[in-house]
Amino acid sequence: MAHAIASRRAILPRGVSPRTFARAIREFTEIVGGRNVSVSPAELVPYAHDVIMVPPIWPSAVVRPGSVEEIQRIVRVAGALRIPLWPLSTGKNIAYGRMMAVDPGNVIVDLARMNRILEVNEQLAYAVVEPGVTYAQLYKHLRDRNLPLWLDPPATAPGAGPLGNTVERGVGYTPYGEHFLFSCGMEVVLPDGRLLRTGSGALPGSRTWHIFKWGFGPYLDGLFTASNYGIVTKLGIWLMPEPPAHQPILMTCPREDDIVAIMDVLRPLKISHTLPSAVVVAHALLALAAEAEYPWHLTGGTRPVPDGWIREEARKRMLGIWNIAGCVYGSPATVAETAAAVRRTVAAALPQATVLDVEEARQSPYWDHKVRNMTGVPSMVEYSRLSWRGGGNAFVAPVVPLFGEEARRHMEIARPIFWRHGFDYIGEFIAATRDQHHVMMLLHKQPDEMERAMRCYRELTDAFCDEGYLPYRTNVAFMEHTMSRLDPVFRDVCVRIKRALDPHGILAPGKNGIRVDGAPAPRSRRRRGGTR
Amino acid sequence: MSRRRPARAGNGRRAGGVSGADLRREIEAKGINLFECYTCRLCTEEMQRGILTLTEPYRKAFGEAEWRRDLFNEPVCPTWDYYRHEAYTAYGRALLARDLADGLAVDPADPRLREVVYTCLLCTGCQELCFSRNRVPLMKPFMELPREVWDIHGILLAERKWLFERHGWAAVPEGLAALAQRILQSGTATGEPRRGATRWIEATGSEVVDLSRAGRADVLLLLDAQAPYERALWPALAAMVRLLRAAGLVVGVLGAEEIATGLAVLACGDVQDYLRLNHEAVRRVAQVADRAGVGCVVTVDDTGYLAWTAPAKHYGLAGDLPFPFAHAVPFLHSLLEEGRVPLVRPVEMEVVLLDSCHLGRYSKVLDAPRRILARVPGLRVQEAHLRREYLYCCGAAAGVPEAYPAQAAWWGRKRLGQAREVLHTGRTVVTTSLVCGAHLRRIAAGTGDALEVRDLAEVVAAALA
Repeated sequence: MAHAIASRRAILPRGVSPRTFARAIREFTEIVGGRNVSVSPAELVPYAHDVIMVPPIWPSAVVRPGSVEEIQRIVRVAGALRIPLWPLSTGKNIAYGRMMAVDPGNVIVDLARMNRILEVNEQLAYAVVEPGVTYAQLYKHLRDRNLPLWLDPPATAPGAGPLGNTVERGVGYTPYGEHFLFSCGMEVVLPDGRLLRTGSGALPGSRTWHIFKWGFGPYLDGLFTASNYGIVTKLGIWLMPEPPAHQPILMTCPREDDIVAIMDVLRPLKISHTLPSAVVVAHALLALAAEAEYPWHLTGGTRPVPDGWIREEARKRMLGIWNIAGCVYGSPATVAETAAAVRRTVAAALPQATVLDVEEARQSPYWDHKVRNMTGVPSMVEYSRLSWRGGGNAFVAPVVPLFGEEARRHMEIARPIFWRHGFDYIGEFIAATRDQHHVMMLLHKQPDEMERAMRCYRELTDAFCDEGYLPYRTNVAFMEHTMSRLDPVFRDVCVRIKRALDPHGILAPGKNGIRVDGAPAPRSRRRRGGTR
Repeated sequence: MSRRRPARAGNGRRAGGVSGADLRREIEAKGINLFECYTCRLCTEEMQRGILTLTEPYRKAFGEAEWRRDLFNEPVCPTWDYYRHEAYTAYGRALLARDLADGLAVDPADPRLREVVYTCLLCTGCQELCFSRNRVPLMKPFMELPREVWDIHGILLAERKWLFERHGWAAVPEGLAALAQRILQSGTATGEPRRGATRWIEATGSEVVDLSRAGRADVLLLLDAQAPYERALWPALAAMVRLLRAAGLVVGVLGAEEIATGLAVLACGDVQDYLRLNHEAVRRVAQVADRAGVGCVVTVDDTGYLAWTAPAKHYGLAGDLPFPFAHAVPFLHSLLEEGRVPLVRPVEMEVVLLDSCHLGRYSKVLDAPRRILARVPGLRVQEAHLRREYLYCCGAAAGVPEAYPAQAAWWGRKRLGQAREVLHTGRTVVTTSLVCGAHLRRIAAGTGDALEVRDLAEVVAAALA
């Protein structure tokens, strides 16, 4: 097996001699203390594995700084000795590669020790957090102090963090669900060790760093998301004031082809902000994967789960073939009026839809999870999807215009590819304002189905790119491949920025396909990770 | 790409007569698929009610109101709590096992390897959270067939066994190795000769028959490797004898003939010696029990109970014993249920009950201590937030205090803190494990803590007429 071969040899960063590496480790140890540096395979194990489509990619060491100043010193040492660093915040990144670097031999810079909530401003409704702060931690902080503020957790992993999720352009489900949009003001350690404060923070002593995004001059924050141009060490995130009232709207639709009408109904409701939450339209199988046991006896692991089984299991759980969750917020009167208006609209355009009683529906894990997500409460339900076939989990997440026909077309592209590789289509459409994220879960069995899953993932990525649909995020194993599909000018600009800020390419080489020595060529993937 | 260390024998090669494939075989023979750890890291998540929302056992254990309260978050895995490093978690250790089986080369002298492997207290807290293990009842409540598909405890024990077979004592931390060797050589945890095994009887004036010489008894009380040699535990032994005597039972002990069950030996990975010790211990007990007309063999030691009742996949004897066998706590509970122990004197105090990992979480003796304490007149019993299956290990287990004393003390202080936060006026901590009690007593004394640590038997015996 590939993973067996992969783990037999300890490694060094590419092009670094044992002597230089030993010097780097000595200097890192002086900076953070011996306890926070390790080259022991026993302590590197968690950084080498994904959940889990990719064979292990082993780092050479891990360093765990406790302050910004320590990070600056680490970066300077790495720059001088040409040691590649792979920074992590909380390291969850479930289904997109977890803590793995693109290349073997990187030194992991694990920022989990930097877990201070630096500020929560109740009046202006924002928080400033370090990289190691988790959603669970921030949630508890707000609850313990009875602060009437909501955070916006992603669907998985309360142990993930707002800084990492925002920097990876993650999304949530309240009206603040577009996380980067609701972030304001970064502190970034640049590859030369200098400290950049973005936006209004560029003014020494700024009093508006985390409340006015644009500052003066170019808006730089975006450069430090989904990239490898710096290590973000502080982030301002805007928190949603707890509304006086809210009303989840939960509905089901019985037929697969209802997806066209559903998305077309949602488009005006979303664009007008009548429905300000992200609206999730999930296929039954997505909920069942978290709640039911995979019917191996019906599929042999090579055929799609039969429709009859899906319908029967869905019926037991208050699920339709499509399951729609949105929420309205505001004063009690506004909420009542808006919710009624939404229901009327839905009733007119989607007579086949069933509107669920929220309290009754919350007896179901899936619906309870959705309500929690839309009201700022982290939840763990999505973990249970990992057991659907046997642990393998990767997300394919292209972005689609918010039209029903587009959604249907997407399913027509995706489903045959999943089936051809012996997997099920397990997807949801998450309606944002003008687009929908089509998030598909490639759930497979480890280790037997790993290679098949890799082929499936690549085919899906290519199929959607061929049709003009770009994934908003991808697994570490496909970052270079995805970047290779983009326009050469875009790729060249990314590389030039990299060269300008990080001429030796020490920060996260290959992250999102960006390297100082050039972007990957179209239609080819350089083989770098995976063996040691 | 160059190597950063001199090449060592990879685990694909045989060292000490074993290879990585042997570890895989050992684990798979237990019915465990190493890939059933989905590395979801639920075992590192904090027990924050309202976040850990769909856990049915959790809801049942704490009740709907507390479950919804979202009041605290405390990790259940002590090593994750201490290190906040993912290598020191159930999944980190499971991944290590997977990599070792796949041929990852390790140096047995690597102190970090030892620390990752041997700081685990084998407390099984992770198993209660693990959704691979519990996925049916925990996260998928509509499923019909609860089953255990994942057994981190079995993996951790196999990992230690494999390291021991491959590298011998070189892989075992010094303090733990010393403890295990004392047990193997002398049969006692302190290294004191076994002839001292009855000193507590004279010191406490307990009415006990030393069956190693002659005599008959209704109950043969097993004391294992620690209690007879640690003066601080003698009041607990004396209290248990008083309770059994109050039920009209004649109590015997094996005295110098009793040898340790030796959990520390298992913690080293020396499974062969561990089983040899236990088979010999059982042989001696069987011989005496038969001769002395013993009705039931009762151990006061939770690790000894585990040694003889744990399944074979955990290298236990699976209860396959030629005599009736019980732990003292459920045995006492059955006597109380039968009305044979009169608890009449009021014990006007507030105590907090701390469950033990081996007796409580592993052996599921969770209700008996509560029911026993409920029968003590006047006693007000508080519960720690982390309790029953979700208890937080006090750091006493698996020889960790000997191998990693600083960490063990940190966990002990934390556990005492958890006790302190639920006591209103009282200052007494009640434990169901002599091993935990001894550890916590040392921690409390060392920190000048006002808390008093007492064994359950001591508190209950105070209610005897």
